[in-house]
Amino acid sequence: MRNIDDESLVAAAANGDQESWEILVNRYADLVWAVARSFRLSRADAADVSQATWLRLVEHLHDIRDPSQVGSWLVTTARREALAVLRRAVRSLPVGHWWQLDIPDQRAEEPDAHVMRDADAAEVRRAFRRLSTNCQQLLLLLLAEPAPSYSQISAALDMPVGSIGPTRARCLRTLRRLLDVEKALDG
Amino acid sequence: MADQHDPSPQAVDPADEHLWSLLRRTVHEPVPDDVRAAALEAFRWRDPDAQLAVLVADSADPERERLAPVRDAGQARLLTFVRDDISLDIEVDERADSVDLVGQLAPVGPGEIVVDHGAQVTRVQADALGRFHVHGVTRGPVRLRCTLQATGTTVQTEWVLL
Repeated sequence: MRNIDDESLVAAAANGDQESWEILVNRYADLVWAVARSFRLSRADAADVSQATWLRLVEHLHDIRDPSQVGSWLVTTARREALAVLRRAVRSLPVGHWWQLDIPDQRAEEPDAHVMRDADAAEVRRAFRRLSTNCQQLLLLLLAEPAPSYSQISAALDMPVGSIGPTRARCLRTLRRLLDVEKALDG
Repeated sequence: MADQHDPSPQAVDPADEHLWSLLRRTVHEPVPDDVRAAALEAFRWRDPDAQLAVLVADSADPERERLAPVRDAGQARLLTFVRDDISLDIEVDERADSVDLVGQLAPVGPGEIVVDHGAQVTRVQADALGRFHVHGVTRGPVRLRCTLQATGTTVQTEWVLL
């Protein structure tokens, strides 16, 4: 049941099949959420972006150009909505240009549910936040479950498919270096 | 190629495997249950017979900004929806915890406007010149249904995030 391809799910949902819709949501809800949060939106704004994205899919189920690429359609829609939210927030600020602003990270710190044995969770989070915005964004999307395809990542970040692998490797190398620094500082 | 047949970006290098599972436990934030529940609920809004008015211009989205001129910061957001020969211009006025809408229906004439916002529905009338005001619209996804009195035609806008 879970292995039905996207194209069939979109077609069935367009004809009113609730179960196909549920499979689509369960397949992509985490990714759509990750896209919104990767733009550093607050939880409330990310929830609005997510809901607007899903409502748009409901009204376009029957006229999506390529239903087999519905995952990419969803992340593109979420990306646009997230950027529009950021632009509106910046628009209300008195001076400066949005690209010069350091948009504060509105994501709240949340307590860690797991006990970390191999490294301190706070240490990892600290190192992660010192990564470039692009690296944080890419890694957050790659961590979505189920794992997104490269073409979906490409749509979400407006980044060529070919540079995703190398960028991911570079970001992880940097993260490992930052973790070593954190450990040295703690030690 | 279908999305699900693309190469998976999961860690393949064993050295990355460990770091990756660390990240999954620390920085990965799963979609909250209420957000997923709302997405599942969205299906109830399905209306395959609706005459959808498409958002063709949005001053907050330059990628869509083909018809309206670029506006300066501080000005109200402007949206234009079109379906066949019916168009709907909306100005969004920011309030403390909601928004007001000032609308213009074309072709010009009276009509009924129904606004879906949050869990609420608000009905207002467009006057003889096709103008209407909606006060206290909840922020979040919003859509409008407009029925032209002259022809009885109803169009429904795409959802837009206000």
